Amino acid sequence: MRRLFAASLIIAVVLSVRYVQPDGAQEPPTVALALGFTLIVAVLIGDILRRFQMPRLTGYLLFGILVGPYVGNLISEAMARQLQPINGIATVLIALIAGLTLNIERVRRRVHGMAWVVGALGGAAVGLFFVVWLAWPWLPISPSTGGLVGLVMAALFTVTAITFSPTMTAAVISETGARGRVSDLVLAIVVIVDLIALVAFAVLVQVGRVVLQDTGDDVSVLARLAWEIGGAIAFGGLIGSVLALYLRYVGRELTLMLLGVCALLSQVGAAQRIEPLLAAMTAGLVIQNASTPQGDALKTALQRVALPVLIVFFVSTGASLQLDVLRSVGLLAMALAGARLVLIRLSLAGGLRLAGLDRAMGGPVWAGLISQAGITLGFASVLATEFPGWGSQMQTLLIATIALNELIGPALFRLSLARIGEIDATARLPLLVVSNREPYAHNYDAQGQITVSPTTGGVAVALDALMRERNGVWIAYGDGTADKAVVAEGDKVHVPIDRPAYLLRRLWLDRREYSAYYGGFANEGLWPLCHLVDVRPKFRSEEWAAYQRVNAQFAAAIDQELPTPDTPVFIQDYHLALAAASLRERRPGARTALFWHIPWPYPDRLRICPWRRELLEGLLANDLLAFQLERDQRNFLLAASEELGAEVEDDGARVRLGSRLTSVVAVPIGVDYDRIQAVSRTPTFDAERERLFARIDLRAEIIGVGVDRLDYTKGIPERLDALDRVFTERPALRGRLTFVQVGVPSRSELGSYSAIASEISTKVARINARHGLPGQPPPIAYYNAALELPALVALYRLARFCIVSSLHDGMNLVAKEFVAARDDEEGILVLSSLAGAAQELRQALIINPYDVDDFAQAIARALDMPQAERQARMREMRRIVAGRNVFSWASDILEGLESLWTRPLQYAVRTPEDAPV
Amino acid sequence: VTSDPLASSITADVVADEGRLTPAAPERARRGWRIPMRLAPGLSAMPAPPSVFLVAGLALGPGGLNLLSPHVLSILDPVVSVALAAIGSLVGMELSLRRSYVRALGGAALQASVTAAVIMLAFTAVSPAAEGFASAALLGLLLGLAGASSATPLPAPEVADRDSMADRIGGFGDVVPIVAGGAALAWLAEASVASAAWLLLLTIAVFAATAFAGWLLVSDTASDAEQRVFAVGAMLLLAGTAAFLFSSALLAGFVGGILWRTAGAPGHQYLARDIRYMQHPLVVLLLVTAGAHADVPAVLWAAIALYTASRAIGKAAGGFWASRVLRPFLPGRFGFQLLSPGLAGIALALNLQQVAGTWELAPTFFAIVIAGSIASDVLAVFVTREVGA
Repeated sequence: MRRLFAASLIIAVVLSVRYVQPDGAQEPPTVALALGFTLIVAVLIGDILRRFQMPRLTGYLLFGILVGPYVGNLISEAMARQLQPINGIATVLIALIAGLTLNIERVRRRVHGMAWVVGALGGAAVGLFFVVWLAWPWLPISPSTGGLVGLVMAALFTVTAITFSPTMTAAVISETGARGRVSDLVLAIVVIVDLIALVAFAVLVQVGRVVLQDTGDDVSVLARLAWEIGGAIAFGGLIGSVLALYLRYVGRELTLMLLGVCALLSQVGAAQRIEPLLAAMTAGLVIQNASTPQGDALKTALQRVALPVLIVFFVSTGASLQLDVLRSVGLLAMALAGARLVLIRLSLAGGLRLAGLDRAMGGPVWAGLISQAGITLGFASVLATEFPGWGSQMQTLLIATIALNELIGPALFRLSLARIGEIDATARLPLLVVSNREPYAHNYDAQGQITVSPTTGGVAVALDALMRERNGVWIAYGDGTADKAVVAEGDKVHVPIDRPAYLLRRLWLDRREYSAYYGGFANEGLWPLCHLVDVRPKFRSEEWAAYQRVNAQFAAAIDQELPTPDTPVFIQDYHLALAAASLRERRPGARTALFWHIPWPYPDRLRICPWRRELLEGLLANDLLAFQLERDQRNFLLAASEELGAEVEDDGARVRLGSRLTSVVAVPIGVDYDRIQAVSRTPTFDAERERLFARIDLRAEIIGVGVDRLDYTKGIPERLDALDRVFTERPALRGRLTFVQVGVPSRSELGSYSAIASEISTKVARINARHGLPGQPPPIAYYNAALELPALVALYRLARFCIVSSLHDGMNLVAKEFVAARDDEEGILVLSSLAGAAQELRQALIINPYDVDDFAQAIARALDMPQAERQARMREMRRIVAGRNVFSWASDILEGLESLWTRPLQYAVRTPEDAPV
Repeated sequence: VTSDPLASSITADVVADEGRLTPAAPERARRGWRIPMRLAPGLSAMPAPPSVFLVAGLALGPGGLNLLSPHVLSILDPVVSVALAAIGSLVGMELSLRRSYVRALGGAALQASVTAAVIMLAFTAVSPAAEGFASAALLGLLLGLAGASSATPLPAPEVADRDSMADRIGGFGDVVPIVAGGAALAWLAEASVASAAWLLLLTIAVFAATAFAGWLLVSDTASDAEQRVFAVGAMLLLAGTAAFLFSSALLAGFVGGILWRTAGAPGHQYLARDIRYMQHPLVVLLLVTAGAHADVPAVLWAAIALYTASRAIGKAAGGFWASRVLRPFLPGRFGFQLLSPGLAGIALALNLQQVAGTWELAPTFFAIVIAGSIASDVLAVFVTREVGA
């Protein structure tokens, strides 16, 4: 209602100003007024379309048509000409965004499939060329021209007509918040194909100049070509590098810098005859891939400035559509657009088949390839300028084709994304996450007030981020003291409290039952069984029985919450190994995936467990079983084969037990990279850092950090021994170095855990007594509680180095969080080779936590490492962590689960040869 | 923190307003003023004074390298209007009816009016009778208004004090040129005072309606991106309406700023955030464009010298009287700290140059303000050094 009133007020203002104008005034300037009106009303119309599940972009384009010279004439042709520089900047901005969206690290994992698809689209281009060539006598371009000249004309037309729209694609994806394989694939395809098309177009224009205008000899043509393409790439690379350096060392006035760079690329490109779009795309690619943190910073700045510029661009594109042209060549344009779409659809089907990708992706990917806008318009405009006459005729026909494609493309792509469930807001496939630990606990404080605290573990944070994105229901045991007081009907509560995004269904368990299931079988049996540490697993039959009963309770809750049989159920971890089997008794068709976060033991060790066969059978009741590493996947397959006689298929990714087929894969988990990045940019971050200083003694010149649950697998005593050695060997560090050990109490009711907590406290006290100096910062600052994410990020960013010294660990997300938090590219990660993260973060200082000398030397090396080496290592690690975030982890698992009903999984997992030495 | 009751009340205001404590003004006055300058209230500190950008504009403009050709400058016109509106809105959003603000506004109005009067008198006195008293008086008045604005002193880095009385007085000095400049533009556009007043009232009503629509839209969305687009749209509408009506974009922004501040959170906060984010690029663009537009013939050098000298005298006198009225918050020679030209004065000149229409003295006025601002900046460096010593 407010919006309607505001819009009416604006329309009233725009209509009334002409009556207020002074008498006898000259022709008033209207650009700013029209732009303001356009910007606001376009957003409002886009918003209305959004309510009808249409993309906002379509609203902007429609509004452009409405206010353009052919309908409303609010944006006259003269004004459209005045907007040309803005459009030039916007087009370059679009190419820059396209370059920034292509993270080679992410694409590399799908490079094989992508190569086939792009190759197949080359086939579509060839097909379109033949169609154009056959239809040439009927096209209103230059029907009488044949031979080589005609061929070149047809080729130029084809290359222009086949291009896509990275902006539209990126804008639809960004606007809808889509995440998943299809959106990733489409974005990569449009950028790569347009990059190739840019080069092909530049070549053909040069050939056209020679063949059609007979200008220059072969050498000068080649030189011009080299200049146009090579110059654009070199210039773009240079601009990208300079911008990255500016972002790293100055980092101020990003808006001004960004607009300046776009204007520079646009103007210099036009003046020097180098392809500005290619230059801008190269600049984006360089920044994103050579300097990921700077790419992130630039993307943040772009988010702030791009939308108004792009809205103006889309509206002006809509306004520039020549509706009269569309009328005259409309049918022909429709036929050409139809031929293009059919050829792309056919080639795509072939490409997906050759790539071994799910053919069901064909429709949605195709819908993403319909749109055309800036780059195609840019090509058409170049043709009209370079080859007046037939070039203008070609432009007319191309614009008519673009008009059709850009009107239907974004809407169809959005619909397809919604249908396959990649759009969070509209997806009707709520996700069911099941875990033992709840993401948010409500407790009574000392005053009897209810407080809510998020669970701080890396996995919980990652899954919470996933659920914020996907919505749905999370089922977990409610162990907060006030949990029962806040749940509504069905034992559910909306979380997070500040911005509700999903439902938390709490399960109430008998305390003794819970203790036997969780403290007993899961944590005194399975946990030490799976971790190769010096703690003997304990298996008791009553605890095993409790474990079975609790798993059955979880299965019953899933059954209650499961809206449809094909809703994906994502079960977490070793606490719930039997949940899927129990669920299947009630819901045989349920689709479940279980992620086993901790290592899987080799078969000989597994034999310690008396109920290993039941566990294996329970796990194989899932459709998809995912481990962190290939090592765990191999161990599991060996165990299934040896213990159950299950049949492992040749591809090593599926195992058959009876009539059930389970896919077993390795998908290493990541962190919520973007959220961690965003934390340091929040306005309250500085205050959070101040609070951290108040809580922990951080006066020292050098800060080191370790963040762990108090668990015997984390190698904290070993870490303290290594630090003791460092202080002993380098006494000058006393008073200058404080190592902050954050130890989050965990499972303290178990003997093995209370023993390790006590050992750590004793060691810290001993080291501080031995190496501490009166009045000086302590050698070890031991903080015995959980820190919330902002404080954690603040601590990570203060630290010179971070130690992860697990004795055995599935992945360890602290290592990745530390890397994600360091957008200053500072900080060294000292990482245990026995943590799963070491398989990916090879630029960390890899240590053996059992070898105290080696460990101490690594810490000393971290202290002495030159800045250039520190930054180079961190840069490389950040590239990896950014490319493998929690969402790509989750989408790989969930889409993998859904694709089981069509094709086997196509995961790009590390080969054993890739493993670190 | 001082025990002075008035100082305590100001401190309390600051605490209530910003949630932080700032040192009292006398403490700061003792520290001296050997500092660069700030451009206008609410604008972030800039590494270079405005004259650097003006000179850059002169070098890049049609009289120099012609990179900013008349064609490019005409394309930039709408953006300049937005910059003017943004500056006006930031000044408007700074205003408040708190006691300390009202006192500062009074002091600012006093020093700005004295400066404007001195410049106007100087130009009226020296102009040849043949040119006509009214014409000289109008030129003098507009030059006085442009000269009344000052860059406020930037606090020393160790003092996070942006809300002292001195700062506010320097900043609120922009209010006089913006409001009176808006009225003068209406006067230039209309034949009689009555019709000019009527036009001024109507334009203010249109600006207020536009600003209110912008506030409604910004308040109604939770999306940062949409808030930003609406903020940009609102600024474009304000600037565009002003340009369409040949009125003052500065005044349009100023009216918008006051309305947004009065309408309150959260719309006010979002708008302030987004306009502040845009303001620095816009300010740089405005100064460079102003420099590029200027054509300073040698024949005007005497007038420029007169403007610089009368402005310095006016500032010294105005600062002295303001310090007398607001003792003990201001040092006696406070006026010397206001010598650096304010952005609002340059903006007013550019605004007038954009919409003055047939006023034949517009190029003269513009050239004197731009060159006089550069000269005042140079003068300020020397005077500030002397005063500091």
